[in-house]
Amino acid sequence: MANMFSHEGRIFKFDVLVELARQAYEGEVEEAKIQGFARNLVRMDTPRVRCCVYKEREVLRQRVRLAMGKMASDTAEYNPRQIVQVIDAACDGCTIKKIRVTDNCRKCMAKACVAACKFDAMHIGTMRSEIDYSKCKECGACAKACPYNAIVVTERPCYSHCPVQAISWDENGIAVIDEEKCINCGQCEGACPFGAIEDISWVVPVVQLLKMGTPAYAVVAPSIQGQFDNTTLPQIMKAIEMLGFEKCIEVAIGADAVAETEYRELKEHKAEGKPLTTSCCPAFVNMLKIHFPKQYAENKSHTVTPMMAIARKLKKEHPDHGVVFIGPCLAKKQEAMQQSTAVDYVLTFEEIAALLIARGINPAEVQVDDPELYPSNYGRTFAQSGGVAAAVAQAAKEHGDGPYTMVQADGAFECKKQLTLMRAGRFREDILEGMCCIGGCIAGPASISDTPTVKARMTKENMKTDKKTIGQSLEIFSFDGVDMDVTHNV
Amino acid sequence: MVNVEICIGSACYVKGSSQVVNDLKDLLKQHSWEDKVALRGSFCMKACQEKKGLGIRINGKKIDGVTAANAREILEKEIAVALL
Repeated sequence: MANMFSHEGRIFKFDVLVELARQAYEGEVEEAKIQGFARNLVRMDTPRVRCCVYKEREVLRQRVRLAMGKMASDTAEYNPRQIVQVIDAACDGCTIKKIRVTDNCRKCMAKACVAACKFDAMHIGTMRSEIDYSKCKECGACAKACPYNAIVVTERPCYSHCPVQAISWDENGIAVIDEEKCINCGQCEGACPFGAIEDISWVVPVVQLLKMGTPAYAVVAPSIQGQFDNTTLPQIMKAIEMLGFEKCIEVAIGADAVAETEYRELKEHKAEGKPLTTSCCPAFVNMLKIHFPKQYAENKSHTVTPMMAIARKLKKEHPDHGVVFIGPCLAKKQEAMQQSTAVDYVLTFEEIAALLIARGINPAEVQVDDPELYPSNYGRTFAQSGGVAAAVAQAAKEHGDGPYTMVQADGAFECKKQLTLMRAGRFREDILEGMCCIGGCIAGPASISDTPTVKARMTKENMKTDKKTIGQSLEIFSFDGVDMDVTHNV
Repeated sequence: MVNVEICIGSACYVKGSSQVVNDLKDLLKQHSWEDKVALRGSFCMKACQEKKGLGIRINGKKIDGVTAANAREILEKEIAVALL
């Protein structure tokens, strides 16, 4: 379990989390102490990727700040809304010239690039075509026109992966996130090859509360199933309980309730002729709220997310217990924690793996009995693209209703495209399922194993369930009296 | 037995409640109160919404106006009173 990541930047981040978790479990948590300790991760003789050991230590210092729940930058004011942050020392500044002519240029007679340029920025130089960057508008027409593919368009990975143009850069080329536009989807974090974009973490207070014996439930996102090699869902859940949680509960139970409630909403929307957009992906909801306010008001489902559904149920039954959500998602941190909600803390799979390693718990070796009560496969499949719409359709079917037509927007750019169609009145289906990660939550930025592997493990394990319906699941797990409306502050 | 609960919800954590736990442990040791005072953590007690400082309760009673800087001083007095 020690080497779970193939990306060196993630391994490094993970090492910091493991050390921090160890420290938090064993001693008092003081930043100065942890910084001193973390410095050992970058020794003078450690192989490095940056210019010098001092720069790497600065990167590390900012990483430790984030891991301790502080803003990466010392001068930034604390903003609980902003989960995804730039570690400026780690940012490479990347290529700033978007269009470049490469050695492939044959200085040909056709000069398609010159003809294609509408801004008079392209001319034939002595060796090859040359770009006058004072005139270039970075439209890319020359690159499309070149018959040799000699002109390349390079976009910074953070920028090209951001669906909402929230990333720009300062005069030194260092990435800057526009907090007004950012939807905390974490696509940039996954895309940056320098590990320069990271999320703020809450491992320290969670460990401190667990250590003090404060009663807490861990609620796990359905996408946790299949994250660890040779490990069943009950084993993972038991391993998490061993960290000090009173009980670990599947969020898929809440997903069953959400499918049922969202079906009822769908029926109302259909009667009014308005398409319904799903509510479970918080980055998709942020996209609606910030960038498509009209659709947010008219089309968005008012049902709470599965995480919130199960948390509200638990808080109603046990108000003195804390609820910690464990998922692959960064936007969930914002959903749960930017204001007081039924979810107290959010940890990622990465963070929970760090806690397990710090405590020496290997989920694959945990002994468990087969679970007696568990949700439907429909609830569990919320973790995969297409799963939410399928579950809502199933809920309709169980009521003898339907069929409804649906579109699955798989990934943030597809979400944006479908919402743009909806804004233009050209979305013709009944339901739009929006998921900002391609493949669904199982591809979340803080997931551990790769998406196809997780999907295969999940499908295999769920073949052995009793294939109950959503209705049967809700007979076992009652949501009577649980407020499922997201606009109500519970 | 005096029960002291300290909120380590995210808003209080950011304001330094985690450090207050450490300070308080020191304080209990210093006065040899370890057997008389039970120190507990708590998830959000919604003190943040009232904006009256960190979430701290002594025997169930909310103590207002505590910050990371004055916690030691205020809690020393309050616990001494509660122990009478």
